[in-house]
Amino acid sequence: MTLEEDVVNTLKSKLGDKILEARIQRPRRLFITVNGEAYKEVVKILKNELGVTHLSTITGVDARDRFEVIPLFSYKGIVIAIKGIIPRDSPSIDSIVDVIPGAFFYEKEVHEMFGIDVKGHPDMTHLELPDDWPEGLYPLRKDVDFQDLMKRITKERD
Amino acid sequence: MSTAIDIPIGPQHPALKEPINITCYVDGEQVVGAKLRMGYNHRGIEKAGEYQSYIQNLYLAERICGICGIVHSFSLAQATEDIIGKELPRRADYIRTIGLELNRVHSHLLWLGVAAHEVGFDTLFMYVWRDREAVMDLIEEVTGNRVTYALVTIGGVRRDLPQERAEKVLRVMDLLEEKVKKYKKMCIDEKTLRMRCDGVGLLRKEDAIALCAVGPTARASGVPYDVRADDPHAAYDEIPFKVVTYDTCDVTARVLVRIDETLESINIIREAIKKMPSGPIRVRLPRVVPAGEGVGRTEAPRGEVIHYVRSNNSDKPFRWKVRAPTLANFLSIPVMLTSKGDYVVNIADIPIAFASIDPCMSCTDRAIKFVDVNDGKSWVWSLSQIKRVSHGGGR
Repeated sequence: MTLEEDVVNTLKSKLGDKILEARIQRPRRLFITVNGEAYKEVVKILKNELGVTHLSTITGVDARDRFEVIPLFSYKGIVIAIKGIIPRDSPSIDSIVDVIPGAFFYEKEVHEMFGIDVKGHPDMTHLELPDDWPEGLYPLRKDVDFQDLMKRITKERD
Repeated sequence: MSTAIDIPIGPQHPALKEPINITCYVDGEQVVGAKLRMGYNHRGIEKAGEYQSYIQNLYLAERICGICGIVHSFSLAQATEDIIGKELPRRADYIRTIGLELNRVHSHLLWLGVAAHEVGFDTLFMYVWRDREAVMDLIEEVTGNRVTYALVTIGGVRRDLPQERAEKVLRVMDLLEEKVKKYKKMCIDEKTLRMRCDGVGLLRKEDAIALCAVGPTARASGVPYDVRADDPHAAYDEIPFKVVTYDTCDVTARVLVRIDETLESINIIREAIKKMPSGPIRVRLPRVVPAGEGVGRTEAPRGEVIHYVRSNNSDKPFRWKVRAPTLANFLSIPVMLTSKGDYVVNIADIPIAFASIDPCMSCTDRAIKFVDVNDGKSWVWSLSQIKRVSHGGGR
């Protein structure tokens, strides 16, 4: 059994049906899909059962009909992507900063770029965007057009 | 009630490329806390990438960083090739490896010079930068450009490395090895340098792990995390090399990790040229990338770089996420700059402690804000003013 299959089996034995999909794309690339509610549970199992400590980054994806929050973990050379699926109308997810302190900046970034509420994060101020950035404008959402964004920002600056 | 006095330096400055703001909390000469505010140079590259084709994005990616651009074009290409699922010609992997390692050599030498300058050892700075110039010339010959190499393309590389050019690379490597060994000895033996670096900018191993530090910052704290070894890409699976770690967790360790890594890189380049097979340097891949997702990563000079790409069966990425190593290491800065128990951070240690993670150096020339914890007074200094203090020139 490969190390990748080992990770999948550990997660499946602990979480069963909560793992919606587990895909090994190629050696050292593993994609796990779960619902937003089970997201933090998976992270805890990764840390406590497998000893995963390194979080490379967290990326958000606006898939138009839903949001995905995808932390990319590194474990013995394997990139483990946990795809947490959350509904578009009430986007929120549990903070993992108490499990993985290195998530601090990445969760701030997901919050300000996608407007996803990260529950339990100690500091939800801006990371990259300026302090006077218009409230409720989340630049990486798909309904925000690049040209409109440029126009709006330039106008508010003038 | 205290009155705060801010003396703003900037915001425009000829040397400003990537500005950052650090608020340091000081008690007399001691720094007891630090906070970072970044984003002054946020360019919206990820959003822009969704409006451009993959090939156009390669060139945009290369411009994320002026020092290690190739790691970004490489990571984006790797993620895209993963989605398409096509093997590359081996010769392309080897040429990519040589490009990545030449980049590391120039970047580590650049950093060594900057670090020497930060502690007032300008002789070393000038020697190192003189020799770095030989690497820059070499990079220009191998890739066609000094800074943005445009070497990597989706499906391989754009420029071959013919025999006579490879021989020139080997000649320069011999020269460099001799010089770098000399600088290593200099850094170990030079008392003034050691006094400024030993025990400064401490990042304990458990902190480095918890805060997910990467690259030489992690390896100088005894964490053997190196993407080249853990997740072999390009030709790293066929080239033996050593993951350099030190366990003193201070600036000295970061200096020595980078010097030893430069020597390792020189050997990797030699080995890659020796083992490089003949054959084609690229395969033609379709411009339309099938729906899927991919993760590309490599070990940049500053640490792990990771790109995530989501495709949707078009010639433009649906989502492109980039994480450069400096962001991963920024969490460690407040830890390095906070006095705790026996560990004392002086104001004069700030420049070298901050520089030791190798952020893009012009970032630091903006301003540092000091808050005196006793009376709440705050004032702002530019980094050059702190340097004057740290070099013994007084306020």
